[in-house]
Amino acid sequence: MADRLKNKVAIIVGGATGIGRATALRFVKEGAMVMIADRNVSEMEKTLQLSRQYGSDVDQVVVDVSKWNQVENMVDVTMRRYGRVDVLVNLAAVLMLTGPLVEVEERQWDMIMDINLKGSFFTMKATIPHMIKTGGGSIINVASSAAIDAFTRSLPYNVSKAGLQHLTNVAAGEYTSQGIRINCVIPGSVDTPQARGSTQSHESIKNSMLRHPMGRIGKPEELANVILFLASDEASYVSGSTYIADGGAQNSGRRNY
Amino acid sequence: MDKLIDIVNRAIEDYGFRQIAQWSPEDVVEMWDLTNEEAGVLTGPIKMALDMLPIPVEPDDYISEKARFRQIIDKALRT
Amino acid sequence: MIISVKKPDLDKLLIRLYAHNNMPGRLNNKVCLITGGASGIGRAVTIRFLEEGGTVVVVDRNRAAIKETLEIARTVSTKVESIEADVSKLDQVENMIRSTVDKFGHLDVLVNGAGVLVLTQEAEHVEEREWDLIMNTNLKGLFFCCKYALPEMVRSGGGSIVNIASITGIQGYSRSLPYSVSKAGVIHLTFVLANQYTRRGVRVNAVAPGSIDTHQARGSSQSVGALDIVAQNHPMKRIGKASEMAEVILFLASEESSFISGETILADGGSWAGGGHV
Repeated sequence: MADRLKNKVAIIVGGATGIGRATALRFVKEGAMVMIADRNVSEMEKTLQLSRQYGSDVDQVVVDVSKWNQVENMVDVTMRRYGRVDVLVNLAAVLMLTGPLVEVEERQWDMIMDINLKGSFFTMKATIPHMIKTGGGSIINVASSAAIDAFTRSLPYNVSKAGLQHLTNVAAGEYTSQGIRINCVIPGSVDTPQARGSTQSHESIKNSMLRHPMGRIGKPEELANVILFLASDEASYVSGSTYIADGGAQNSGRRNY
Repeated sequence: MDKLIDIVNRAIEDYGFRQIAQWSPEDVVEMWDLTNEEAGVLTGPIKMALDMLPIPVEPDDYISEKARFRQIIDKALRT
Repeated sequence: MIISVKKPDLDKLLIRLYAHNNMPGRLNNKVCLITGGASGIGRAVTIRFLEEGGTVVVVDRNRAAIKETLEIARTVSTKVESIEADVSKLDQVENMIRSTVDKFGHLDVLVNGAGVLVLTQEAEHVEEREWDLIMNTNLKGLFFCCKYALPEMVRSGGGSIVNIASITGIQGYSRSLPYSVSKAGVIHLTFVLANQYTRRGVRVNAVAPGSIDTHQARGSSQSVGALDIVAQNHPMKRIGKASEMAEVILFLASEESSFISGETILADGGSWAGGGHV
């Protein structure tokens, strides 16, 4: 194996930790040239060091995706380093817990929306023209089961992820004809620092494992596998699709394609 | 006779039905309530002719193909 | 000793050696049963699974297609067998599962690809026998393949079932109401089976292909030119290849999708997102 992304350049936004880190490592192992983009400088450095065990074509750029000039810079740095962008993975997100709707503060709303929704819009806006020039590419937006299930502890997070899923569909409708495949991945419970941090207790993680049909939550590497498939040419006839990877949890029997 | 004509007409126009007539003739025999003699024609000369049809039969050729199959049926039932 | 080999043959040989020596096959040691495995998407799956080291049992009712598929398949791997069976006949289904398990000791992957598309008129003209022909293969037959395979998979510690549904099961298809209803049934069956069996180690998923270049699609378009029009209106300016569906099905069959169960994966080249129609 190890060549499913040979000669492809990938930007992994939010690549420092969790699913992003697992994706960066997997992509490098599969022969990709990878630009890790994150605002968490210390974790990003760790991911970079880990990645370099598998290949030398991996670099990093600091970015806050809610700032357009920083997103432009991220793409410029990638173009200077590698000359093209074939794959964009949007993983940067924040999950802040909020009260119910009436108690949600404007700044909570803005912080979540700016990163989770506007940020992915920005990275796509900055990347797509380069992809079109080189004949196409693949974009993977990582939403959350909160996009379809009414997870009640952060209304803005739910809405931002639902928005990201629909952004995927509309953009696929606009750009598939120009060679860019755009798909969405919806992870269920996955063992990441974000998930551990937001559940706020080991007890609640243990409980959700017991309830889960697989008796466990997902591993970041399992989500990296899904993202790899969509990034690679194996998914050449897949665009505008949503891949739910929740281990069969199917919380509310919702339908998404 | 009329049943066999109905069956081949469907098989000419619809490739999905054609495959059933070729490969699950027992279903067709049962659902169209064919006699033993008709069933023999279906699994014999009709099957052989269906195997040779292009995929799909172009609409312009429906009339000529249907006429040709009708002859095949006529001939088989006479002998 | 010098062996003379023609260049294209040598390339093929090297690719195969490379595949066997350097790539741990994604389906090594897996016994895979593929219904409808002799033509169209099923045949592509058969070939792809063999390339990935799987043992494949091709099930089809079309004897001629089985023969042709085995000839092609054996150039890839010898680990391929066939069973002539009609999935709408329950005794044949039970038999095919039993003989597979008797022979190989376990069953790890079931791809339900057997399906028929009979075109029908508007609802008021749909005949009972048309309804039955479609439902008996596409839904009842598929269900009974799952029914007999599931306990075998549970017994050997788990497995993966991939049902081939269709985009017509999501957005409808007016040229055959029974067909699109059968495919919607497959999608829902997938969902409920996953609810019941994921906790017992069997992942159950479906793929919903859009327009794919197969004999079935060409045949049902009723004219060679018709599919070209579909292609022109498609966002990718083409219809899909059976081999592209085989990649999606391989992903769902293999351990790479270890955290996916109960899902229906749309693989239509972006046509639905682009507002396209079947």
